[in-house]
Amino acid sequence: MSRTTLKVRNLSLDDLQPGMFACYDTVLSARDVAAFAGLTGDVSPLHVNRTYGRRTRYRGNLIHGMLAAGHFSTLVGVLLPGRRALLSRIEIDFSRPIAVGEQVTVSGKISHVSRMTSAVGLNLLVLSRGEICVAGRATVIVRPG
Amino acid sequence: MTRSPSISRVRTGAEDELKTALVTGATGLVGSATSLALARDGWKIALICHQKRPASQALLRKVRAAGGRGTLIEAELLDYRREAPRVVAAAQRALGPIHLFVHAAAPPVTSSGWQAPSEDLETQFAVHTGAFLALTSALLPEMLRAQSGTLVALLSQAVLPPAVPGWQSYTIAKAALAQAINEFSAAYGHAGIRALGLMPGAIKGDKPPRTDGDDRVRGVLRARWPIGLSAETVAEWVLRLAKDRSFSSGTVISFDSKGTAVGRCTSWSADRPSGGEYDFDDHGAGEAPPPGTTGVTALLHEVVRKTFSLDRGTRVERAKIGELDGWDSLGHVKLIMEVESAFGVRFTADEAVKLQSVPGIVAALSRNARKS
Repeated sequence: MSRTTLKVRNLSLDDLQPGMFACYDTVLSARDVAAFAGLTGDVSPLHVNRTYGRRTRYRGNLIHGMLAAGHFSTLVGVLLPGRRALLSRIEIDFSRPIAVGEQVTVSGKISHVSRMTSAVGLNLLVLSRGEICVAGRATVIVRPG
Repeated sequence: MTRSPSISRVRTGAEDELKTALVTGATGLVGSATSLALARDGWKIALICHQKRPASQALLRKVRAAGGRGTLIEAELLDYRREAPRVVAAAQRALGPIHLFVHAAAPPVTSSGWQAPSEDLETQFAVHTGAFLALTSALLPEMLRAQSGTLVALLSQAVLPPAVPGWQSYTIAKAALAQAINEFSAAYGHAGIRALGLMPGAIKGDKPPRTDGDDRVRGVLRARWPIGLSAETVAEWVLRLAKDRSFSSGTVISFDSKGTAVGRCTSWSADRPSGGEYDFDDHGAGEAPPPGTTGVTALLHEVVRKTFSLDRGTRVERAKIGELDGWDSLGHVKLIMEVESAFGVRFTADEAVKLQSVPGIVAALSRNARKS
């Protein structure tokens, strides 16, 4: 997988239209899981203990659901709309577990734009092998500058 | 010090710019008309054909002449498990991620008996249903990345009762395809991928189906072969479904006996076509009106039947107040409320009193539509 450095975009409310989308691929690695456990203190063996993970029905460790959903922050704050974003509200459904080391796609699409409230709605997904693992709906305030 | 996550394949864009399509059965009547309609609208098209023949090369030239970018891909959809990933990979290599899939491939309809249906059923199921599912599965990851994709399947009015004797392989496969749309809509509708169906009936210029001298087949076909839409009209509908995202996932557009589009049916509850004036041995008659005419009549009939709890088969086309069980003065108020709710209109008290018959209500709704 060729690696890319994300560039922070700077879209204004006037630039945004329903149907605009952004996506990227990433691998959620054991190193990411360890870092997330260290930051949040969620050291559940389901995520960090190999022996325990192998004994579960998943036959291995799972990444933290919130680690996957954390990429929604990246998508909104870096790509769509980018630096002017202020995440106001988010709902998340976790529909399929993600194994450590799995490659996923993070995707967001604008569902509506409210000029009145300077806010946009986004549908957010984390996908793996054509399946939806995490689905979210967010409201994002778009700051003037 | 921060460590960046491993990120690749960043893509940004807008849904309206995603004009890449894959069309199966591209050299057939509907497939070629659809490919040309898409080309004229500036789409890039993967033309999937059974064999690269002069006809498919000619289609590719026409597509390019019409302003589209096309690529020809030969495929044997009977072997859909192996072919689907290869076809989609080839299409995406040539054109980039595909966001519209039109499934118009169709093997010839044979009038087979029940004594040996298996080979015929396998053929029909493979091309109509298996290929649709396999190609969809291969296209889905890229569609999901952009949360944007439209699948349009060509369905058939032959799945509606009464059954056409001997056509069971074809109708079972087509019914499964229709159900695939339902299932897919439930699974992916919320993710921005729409699955839609067109149920056009007989296409003008298509070969008349074989009856093998069977009078029963001939009789059923005569009764239910009334339409004769042009392939161009069907193609216009494909383009409309692709571009107008207000057609929600699961929508199946059917057509009545005059070729008028019947609403945005999300079930098979619309009136099946009626009328025997169309001669299925002569596909020359009855050019359909263009898309844009609405299915007001069929939907109203459905509302009338539902309001008065009438059987599906009850004829209501010319019914007047007092002629149907329950359509008395009290029932009339109930009917008007149901009509207002179903069509999103408001009648004044004076108008409501004057609406004494089903044709009268159709006329009022049509006037209302013209005003709006």
